[in-house]
Amino acid sequence: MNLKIIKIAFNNLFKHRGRTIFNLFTFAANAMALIVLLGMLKGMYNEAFERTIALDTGHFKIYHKDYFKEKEKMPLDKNIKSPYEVIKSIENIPYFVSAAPRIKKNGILSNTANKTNVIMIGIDMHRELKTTDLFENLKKENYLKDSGEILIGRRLAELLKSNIGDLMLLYSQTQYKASNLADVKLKGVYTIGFAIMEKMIVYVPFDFAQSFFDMQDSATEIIIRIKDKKFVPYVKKTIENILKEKYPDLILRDWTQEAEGLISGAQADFISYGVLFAILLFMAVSIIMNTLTITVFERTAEIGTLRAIGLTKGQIRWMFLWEGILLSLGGAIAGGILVLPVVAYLNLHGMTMPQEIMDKLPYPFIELKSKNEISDWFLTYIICIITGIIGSILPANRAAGTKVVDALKKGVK
Amino acid sequence: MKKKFFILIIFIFYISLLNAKENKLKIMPTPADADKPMKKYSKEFAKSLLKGVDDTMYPKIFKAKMSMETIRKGRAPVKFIYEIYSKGGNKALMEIVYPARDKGKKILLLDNNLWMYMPEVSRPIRLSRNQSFMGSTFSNEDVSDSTWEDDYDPVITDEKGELILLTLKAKRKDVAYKQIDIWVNKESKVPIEGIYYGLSSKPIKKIYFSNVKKIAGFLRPLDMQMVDLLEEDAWTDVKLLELNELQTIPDHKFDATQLGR
Repeated sequence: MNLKIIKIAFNNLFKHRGRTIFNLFTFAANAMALIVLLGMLKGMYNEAFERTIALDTGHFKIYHKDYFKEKEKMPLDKNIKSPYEVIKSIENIPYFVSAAPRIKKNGILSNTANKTNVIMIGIDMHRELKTTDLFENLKKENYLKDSGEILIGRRLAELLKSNIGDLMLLYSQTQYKASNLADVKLKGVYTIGFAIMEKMIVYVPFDFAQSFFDMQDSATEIIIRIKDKKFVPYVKKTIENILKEKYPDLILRDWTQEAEGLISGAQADFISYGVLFAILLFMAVSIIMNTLTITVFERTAEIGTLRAIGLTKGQIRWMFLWEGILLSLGGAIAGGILVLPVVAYLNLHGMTMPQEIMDKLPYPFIELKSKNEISDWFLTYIICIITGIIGSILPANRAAGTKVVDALKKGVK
Repeated sequence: MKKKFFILIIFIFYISLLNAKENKLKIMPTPADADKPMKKYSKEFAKSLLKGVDDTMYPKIFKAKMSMETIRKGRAPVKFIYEIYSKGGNKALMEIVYPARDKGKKILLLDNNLWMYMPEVSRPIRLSRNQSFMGSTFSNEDVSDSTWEDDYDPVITDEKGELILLTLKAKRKDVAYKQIDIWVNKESKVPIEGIYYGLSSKPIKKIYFSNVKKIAGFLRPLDMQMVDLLEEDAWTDVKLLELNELQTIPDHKFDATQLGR
C-alpha cells in the first residue's frame, strides 16, 4: 500500500471543504440512523422475546405428541399423565429454574349480564410464580388459593365491569366434550401490559381445572423456565433425552417453536427495515459518486500532471478510492460519536409508546428500550466504508482512464 | 306509627333487593334427583315417553324451513331463515335463504361433525362443537344432537297434572349435558320446557316449546325458545315455517365435497 497515495487523497479532501463536509454529513447521518435503528430493533425484539418467554411460552413446553395435530382446538384428551412426575424427572438438570403443569381450554366467562369467550388456564399458583412473571404485579392476598377462584386480566375486568369478590360463571367442556358450568369468585385482577392476554386469559387453580375438565391426574402442558435463553440448545437436548427414555409419548418445544409468529414477524421487520436502510445507502452511494465524478472533471488537468510526473493508472484509481474510503470512514466515525447521547438515552431510559399502539401489538411489550452493542458501531463503519468504495469505483476508473495529453491541454490551476 | 311502619317496609324492600342482587347466582334452578324416580311409572314408560318426545320433534327424513332469531341485550336482533334437509338424525344440510347477504351459506351435519360452506371460500370449514351456532344461544352441539334417546337414560321424577318431569341422565361421559330435566305432556308426548345441566349440576340453558300443531302426522311444537343462562336477556326463537316428511334424500346431498354445487 502506497502511503503517499493515501496522503494525497487525504489532502485532496481539504481542497473542496464544502463538498467534503456535505459528504461527511451524508455518511454521518446514515451511520447515526443505522446505529439507532439497529439498537431499537434489537431492543424491541429482545423485549418482546423476553416478555413472551416470561408470560406465555416459558423457555420450553412439554406436550403430548398428538396435541399438535389439533392444537387450535386445545384438545384435553391429548394430555400428559402424572405431570408432577414428569417435572420431577427433569428438575435436576443444569440451568433448570422451575416448571409448572397447566390445563388450557377455551370457554365462556359470564357475569350473568354479559358473557365473553376466554381461554381458561389451570395453574399451580406456587409453581407458576417461580416459572412465569405473570403475577409480578399481583398482591399476595389475590393469589389463587381455593377451588372456584379465578384471576382475570385488567382489560377483561373493565370489559365485564367486574370487581374483586364478584361471583361469575365459567362455562366450558370436559375432556369428554360434556358441558360444564361452575360458579367462580373473582380473586384478583392481573396486569401484564399485554392487552390480548389481559382480555382473553382467565387463570383458575390447577386442581379446580382438573376436576372441572374431568382430567384426573393430567395436564395439557408443562411450562419450563431455565436460567437464560442462551442455554436453550443444551437444555433441549438433555430434556429430550429424558423424555425419549421415560416418556416417549411426550414432546418438547422450545420458545422459538412456540412463538413462531413472533420470530417470523421479527424477521419480516428486519427485512423491511433492511430495505429502508438499503435505500438510504443507495442515496449515499449516489451522492458520493456524483461528488467524486464532479471532482474528477474539475481535477482533470491535475490528474494529467500527476500521470505526467509518473503516477500509474492504478495509483490514480487508488487515490480516488481512498478519498471515498476516508470520506465514508470519517463520516461514519463522526456519526458514531454524535449519536452517543441519543443511544445512551434510548438504552437507559427507552421511549414510552402510546397505550393505543401497545394494545395493537401482537406481542407483549412494556417499553421501547434500545439494545446497542459495540458490534453495531463496527458493523456501521464496515457498511459505510463499503458504501464509500462502491460510490468511488466509477469516478476512480474515470480518473484512471484520463488521457495525459488531453488532460494537460486544460492547464493546471 | 304508620310512618314508621312505611319506612320499615321500604327498608325491608331495599335490603331484599340488595340480597337478590348478591344471591343472583344462587337462585338458579337445581336438577331433579334422577336417583329418586317416581315408583308409579316404570322405566319402560319413561323410555317410551322419551321416544315419543324424539318423534314429535322431527320426522326421520324431512325437508323444512325454519327461522332463527337471536335477541341479545344491547345488540340488534339477528335473524336467519334456513332450508333444511335431514336424514336419519345424523345427516342434515342447512342452507341460509335469508338474509340476502348470507344466502348460499350452508351448514352440513355429518355424524357429529359440522361443516360450514361459504360461497366465497372454496373449501368447507369445520366447526367446533362447543361454539355458538350462527351467533345463537344454541351451540353446535345442541344442533347436532337430534335425538335424546341415544344419549340419555330417562326417569320420571315429578308430575303436575298432565305434565310429567322426564329427567334425562347422560349415558356416557361424552354426552353434551350431564342431565336434562324436561316437562312433557303425558298424552301428546309433546315437550313443554326443559333445563340443561352441566357436569357440576349447574343449569346452562332453558328451552321452551310452544305453538303445538299437527304437522306431518304428529302433534309437534312449532316454536322453540332457547334461553342462555350465562347471559342476561339472551335467547333464540326458532319457528318451524314448513315441514314436509320425505321418503328419501340422496346421500350426495350430504357430501362435504359437493357443498359448492
